[in-house]
Amino acid sequence: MSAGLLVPGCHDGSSRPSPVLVVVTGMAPVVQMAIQDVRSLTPERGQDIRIVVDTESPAGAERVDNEANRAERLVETPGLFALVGHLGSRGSLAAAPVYNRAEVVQLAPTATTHLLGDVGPWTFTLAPNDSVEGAVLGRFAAEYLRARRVALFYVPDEYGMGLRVAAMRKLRENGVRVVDNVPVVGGADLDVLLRSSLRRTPPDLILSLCPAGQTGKIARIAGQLQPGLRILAGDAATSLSQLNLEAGKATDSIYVASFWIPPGSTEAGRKFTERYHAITGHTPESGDALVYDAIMLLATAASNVGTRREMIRQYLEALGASRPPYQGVTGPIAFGSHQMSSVIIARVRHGELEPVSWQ
Amino acid sequence: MTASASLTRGRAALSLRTILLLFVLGLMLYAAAITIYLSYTVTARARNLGRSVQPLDYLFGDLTDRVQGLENTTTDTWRLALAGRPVPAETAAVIRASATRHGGTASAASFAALPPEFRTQLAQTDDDVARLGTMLLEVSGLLELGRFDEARRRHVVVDSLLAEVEGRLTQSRRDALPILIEEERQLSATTTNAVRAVTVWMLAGMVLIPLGLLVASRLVAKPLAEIEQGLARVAEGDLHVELAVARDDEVGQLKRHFNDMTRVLRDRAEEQGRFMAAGQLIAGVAHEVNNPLMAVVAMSQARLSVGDVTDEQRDELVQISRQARRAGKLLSGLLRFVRMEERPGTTADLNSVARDAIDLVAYQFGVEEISLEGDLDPGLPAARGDPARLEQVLVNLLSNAIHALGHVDPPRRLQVDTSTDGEQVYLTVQDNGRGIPEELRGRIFRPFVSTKGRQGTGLGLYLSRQIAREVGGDLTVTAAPTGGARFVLALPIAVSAEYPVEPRLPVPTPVPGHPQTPLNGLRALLVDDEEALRRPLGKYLRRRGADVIEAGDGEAALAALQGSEVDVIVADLRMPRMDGMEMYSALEATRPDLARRLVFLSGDLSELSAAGRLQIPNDRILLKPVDLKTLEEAVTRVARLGRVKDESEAPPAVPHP
Repeated sequence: MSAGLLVPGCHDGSSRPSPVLVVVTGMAPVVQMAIQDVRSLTPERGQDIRIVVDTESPAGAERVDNEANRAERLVETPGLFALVGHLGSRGSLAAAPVYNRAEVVQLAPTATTHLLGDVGPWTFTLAPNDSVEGAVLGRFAAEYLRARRVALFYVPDEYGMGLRVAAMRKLRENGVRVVDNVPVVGGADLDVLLRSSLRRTPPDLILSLCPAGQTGKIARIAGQLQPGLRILAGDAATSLSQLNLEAGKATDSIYVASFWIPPGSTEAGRKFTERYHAITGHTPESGDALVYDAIMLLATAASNVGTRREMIRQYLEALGASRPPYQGVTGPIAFGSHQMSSVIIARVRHGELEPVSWQ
Repeated sequence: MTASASLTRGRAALSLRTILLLFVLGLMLYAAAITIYLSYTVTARARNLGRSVQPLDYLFGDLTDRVQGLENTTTDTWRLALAGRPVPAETAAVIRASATRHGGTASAASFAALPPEFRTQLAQTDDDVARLGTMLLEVSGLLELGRFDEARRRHVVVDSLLAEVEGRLTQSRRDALPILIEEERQLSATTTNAVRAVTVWMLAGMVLIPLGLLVASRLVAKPLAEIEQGLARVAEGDLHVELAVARDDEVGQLKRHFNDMTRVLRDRAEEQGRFMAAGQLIAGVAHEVNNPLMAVVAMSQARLSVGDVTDEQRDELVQISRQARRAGKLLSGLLRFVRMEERPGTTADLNSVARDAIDLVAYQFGVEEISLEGDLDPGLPAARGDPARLEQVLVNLLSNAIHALGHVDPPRRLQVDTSTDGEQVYLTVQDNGRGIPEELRGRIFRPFVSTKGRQGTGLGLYLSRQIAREVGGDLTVTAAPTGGARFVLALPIAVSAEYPVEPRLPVPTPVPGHPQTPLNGLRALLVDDEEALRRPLGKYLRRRGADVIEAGDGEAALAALQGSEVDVIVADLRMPRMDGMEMYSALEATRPDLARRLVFLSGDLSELSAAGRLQIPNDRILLKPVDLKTLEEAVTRVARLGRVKDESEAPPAVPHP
């Protein structure tokens, strides 16, 4: 874990520290893009903001103690006025009490757990919460995929369990039977778990509320055991590179929920996609666009109302109410009762996400 | 408090309101301080303890339950793995349900509230418990798939991890215990300190609050008690009470007002005392003077009734009688003025009041060369008020005007008018003197304010306005157009139902008979110690046809009545041995029929006003000097009424001719 200063803000040499926006992410390309764009905001304030990146922990080390400790360290950053992060639902939730105690705005770009809405007034989320996403997954399984028996594989944390509850409610409403519930932690023996599950009551759909790597493995093994079995996955599986890597040929059997699919429906989305591709040679993913929007939203708030924490918080609260929604790459952004709830289902076809038109 | 205590100027002090406000604020501060103290010590400490203990308690409880649940499940899975037989579906479902239920993770938010030294241990344990859940599912799956050897090998790993988790959990508990004990010890110490502080605070309150109450008592209760005692003494008649004014606060001001009030009452009582003494003096003089005046009137009128006088003599006798009656009227006016009636009247004819008052002071008009002008409204309705008291008001106004006119050169004019607007009756007194100085006009009706210097008490106008206001009226002053002062006495018109007019005396009807001897057949007893008076009266009544017996006092009269009857008794009040009232009482007891026929003729009627002696009707009371015609009418009326009464009750004891 390391912290890097990506934007040398124009420190005026006085004892007062420059306003700092901390970004907890490992997505360096979108942060670079955001830094360039922050400079193009109102010159006085935009150039004064320093963006400090706290590199995400290595995979598998995102334990709640690490996230809480990291948050306690970050709130001590001189001049800190807001923070983008943390990336996962559980990590964001572990850190949220620290930010609320310190009264620092926390904007979680990809976390979906509805529990974040109860932690305190200083925590905001960009993505629709698990109630919304879970309901969409349940409805898609019943209405579009016409599933009758669903086996549920989920991460036994706030992300997986939140989605599972919402999805099961919607499935049952639509007369779909949940034939198995299998909690899956990292390193689980998916072959045994899948074989025993499929042997008990063969499902016609597996709903995977696991990260992309595990979802890819589930697709591959399930394809071997029960050819033609379809996989529907939550937003944690939108990392195409891992999905394709683990699923192999079975990727085409996978449907994934996402909050944005490049290039999106807006001009901003198209430009963002082109810029990202130009820089990295790859297509951006939903998480990239959400992190970029989160940074730009907070920088825009600071340039509009200054860097006092309370003012930033009030600015975010006002979006969609007394202020118009912020127009981001992923679409209009607002919070609270005005929060957008756009969940897109895409099918993986030839290694790429292809939106499914079903509603 | 002493009567002789000198009135000292109070020292400046905080007002009572400020003191009470400070006292209440002090109490509030006292109550708030302990609350704030407890909030900042015990509550804060308890909250800290709660913050530390609550997440620890939650996580220890949650992890222990989950580990226990998984441990129980491993017993079943081991048994099944060792048995090496296919697992029944129901058993497998129970195992999966337990592994699923216990294999979740604890709330992520609770880790942020943990003391940092426990975060890693418990987070690792939490992850491991979740892993155990999944591993048990794997074991269950292997059993279902019939891969028993593999299941047993996997189970060894599960057991190993479970032991590790249990060990770590035990160690965490052990590590947490001192912290919890220390937190508890600190809370206990804080609580002990708080209890000690509260005890000290309450003890301080037990001392300070009574002290505050004592101070309040000294500042409020004690002075109020002094005032209360002073008022009680005033109520008992002691007008010489004077309270010492020690402070300049509200109570001090109250005491000062109390002293002013007693001074007013004292001066008023002295004024009334002087009036009483003057009244007694005048009453004595009146009796002594009215008797010779009555003799003069009686002799002159008796002489006139004979008829053998020349015209010149007749004129002289008429003048003698008239002047004597005038002197008597003046005396009766003086008596009325200096003595307040015990039975004050409720309606007054302001014209009569004005005339009577003017009569009293008329002699000064000539002395001071004052011309009296004015217009008395002949259609003036009756006003509310006691005529005698209103006469006192008017005499006061006239005296003031005469005094004021003494300081200006002639012509000196005094004007008295009466008028009405249909709702009130007005009596106006104005003069062409110098008027009331501007600086005095606003407070001329206050006690002890006078324009006469040492010659005035400063109470006249004050009392006059009080008399007017007692009946709903008022007395005001303005500058007169002639340059002097103009006083207006306004009184409400008397309502007949509310203020019944004094009943008129019955008009006597002449006794039928010879015009020269209308009293023919009437037997009268004349009782008076003054022979000079008794003789001409008797002579007159005899000449008018009456049979007259004479007696020098009450005893002689009672003796004369032994064995004889009379139609009427005319008696003086003041007599030696037995006075008129004693005689009346004796007759009431022995001869009530004769008591009803008694007519009092006296130079001083004040004794009749004394308590318990008011039952004698007014038409049987005559004030000397009285016109003999009036006496004759009263005698005729009483004799007729007594005769009618006796006839209605019983046959007369003694037949009359």
